[in-house]
Amino acid sequence: MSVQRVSKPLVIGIGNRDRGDDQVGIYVAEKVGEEMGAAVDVLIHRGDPAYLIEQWENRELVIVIDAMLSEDEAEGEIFCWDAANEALAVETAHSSTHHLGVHEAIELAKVLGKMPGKFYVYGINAMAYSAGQPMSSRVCVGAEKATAEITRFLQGDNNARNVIIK
Amino acid sequence: MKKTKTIKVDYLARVEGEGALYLKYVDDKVEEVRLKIFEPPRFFEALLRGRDYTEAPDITARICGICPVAYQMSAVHAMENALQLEIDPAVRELRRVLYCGEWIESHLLHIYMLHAPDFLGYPDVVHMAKDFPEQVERGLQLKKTGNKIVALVGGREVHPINVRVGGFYKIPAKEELQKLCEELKQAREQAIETVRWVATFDFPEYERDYEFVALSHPQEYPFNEGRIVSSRGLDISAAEFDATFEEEHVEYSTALHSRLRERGAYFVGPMARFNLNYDQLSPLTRRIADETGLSLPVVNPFKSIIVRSLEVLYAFDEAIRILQCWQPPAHPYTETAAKAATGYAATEAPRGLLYHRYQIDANGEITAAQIVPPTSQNQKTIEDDLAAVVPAFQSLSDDALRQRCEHSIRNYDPCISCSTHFLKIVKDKQ
Repeated sequence: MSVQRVSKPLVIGIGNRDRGDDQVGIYVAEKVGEEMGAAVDVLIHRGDPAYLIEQWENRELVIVIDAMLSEDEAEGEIFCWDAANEALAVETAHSSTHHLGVHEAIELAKVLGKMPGKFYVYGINAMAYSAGQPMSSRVCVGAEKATAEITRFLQGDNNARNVIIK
Repeated sequence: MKKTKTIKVDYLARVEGEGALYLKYVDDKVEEVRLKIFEPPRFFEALLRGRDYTEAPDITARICGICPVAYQMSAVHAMENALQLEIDPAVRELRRVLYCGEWIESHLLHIYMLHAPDFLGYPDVVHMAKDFPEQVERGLQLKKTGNKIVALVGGREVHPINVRVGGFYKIPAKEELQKLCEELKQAREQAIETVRWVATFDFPEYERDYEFVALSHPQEYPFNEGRIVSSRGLDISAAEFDATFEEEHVEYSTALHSRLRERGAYFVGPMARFNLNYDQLSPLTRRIADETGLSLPVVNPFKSIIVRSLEVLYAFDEAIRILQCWQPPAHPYTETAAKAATGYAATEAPRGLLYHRYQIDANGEITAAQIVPPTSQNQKTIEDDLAAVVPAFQSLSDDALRQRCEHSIRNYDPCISCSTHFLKIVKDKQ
């Protein structure tokens, strides 16, 4: 039986507004929401990623934006994964007694057949996660670039994912 | 020749806390065990000073993304204790329903996603789901029902916003609550299946003589009210908490260790509640508990997963019981007026007793705040467990022993715990 999918794209911003660069996913998702208006749904995620699975399972297109941490890459650099078709390049998936990580939520959704039709994860490389700090300048630049790329992509420009594709 | 071994957890997962484990033993004698918590202090108690008493539920809800209701409930009850407020019985019942939702969410996340893989031999739930897809699917569906309770009564799933001192900002429509009640009835069957499933796991042979501490209420299984009692005769009000318990700083942890002044370590959480309040469980929950063969008191912490699943069943049963005959209050909240006073409250968070104390001045400004979360109270007991686990399971391989240590920590569903990826065993010969 085929799944009746919601065609409106869902843009999910992950992070914590109060922890420096960790807010970049939220910032970009909200900016994309402003650009796209009613054409997309925006979800700002603060808690349990297991909750995300039920949000995205019946969607045609989902975009997740989150801060990432790689000391080998430049601050503010943007990466994009086609998460429906490939594994995220996650070196160490932390597991907590409280939460599944976003990476684990995606992998669990794959096992249970709860992935959306198309699923892209945008990671913006960031280093500063101190409480109470604003986003660093390089991450701000990356955030603006990611906003523009994701908006163009959602507007139908399939070449718009002009970022590092993993 | 003596063998010295060290189990180290260099970095414990992010989110609610950051910490590490260091465990050193010579042959089968543990010389040192430290559950290190190096999460930077978050200073919530200082943050509350100078804020209005009405802000405490929303500020403290931010302490935890998984159990914000517990922080809200302890905060509002402490403020209502300070102001000597009488709460409408219908509001009180609805608070119990909200707490049921949080227990369901929190317990199911732990049972299915975080704890069950320990028993079934998987590194995580993703691997487990390949062999147990129906069970994991059931866990997600049940958790979704808990989310619905919190969303409807609390205003949203995460960090609910509908709780205020004196009651709620808005009472949900009765029709919506009735619809929710029907969903809960269907989900309750799945909760029973959860108990039966986890009861089939193999449990390590391990028991200790703990002092269990929990709320106790003459008419109900405890959520929001009751006296603080223990398995060794403690029986005090929340106002006597500070005289009975003390928090101490240990150099390797930014989280204070709480201990009974007279006796030291104690155990809070589902097993404590279950052992001290078994008679207040619903008949259905007691029947299913008996079916599992659990005998009181439960003193094997590895069996906490069964107890947690029974509390999930109880939470469904209790929410249904309340919603079936619930009538809305005349007003969503009781009006409040500030006065200089001190208020105390303890409620039962998913992982155990949560104590709040506030001092407010005549203008309603908070002048002092104290919050003692359950994980702080269980830290010493977790360390004592780890010290006992090593000699008890000395025959295990290094890798299996490391896993058993991690499993021991997860028995408590603590706010910080270990990730298997960071444990290392180092062997030295002396």
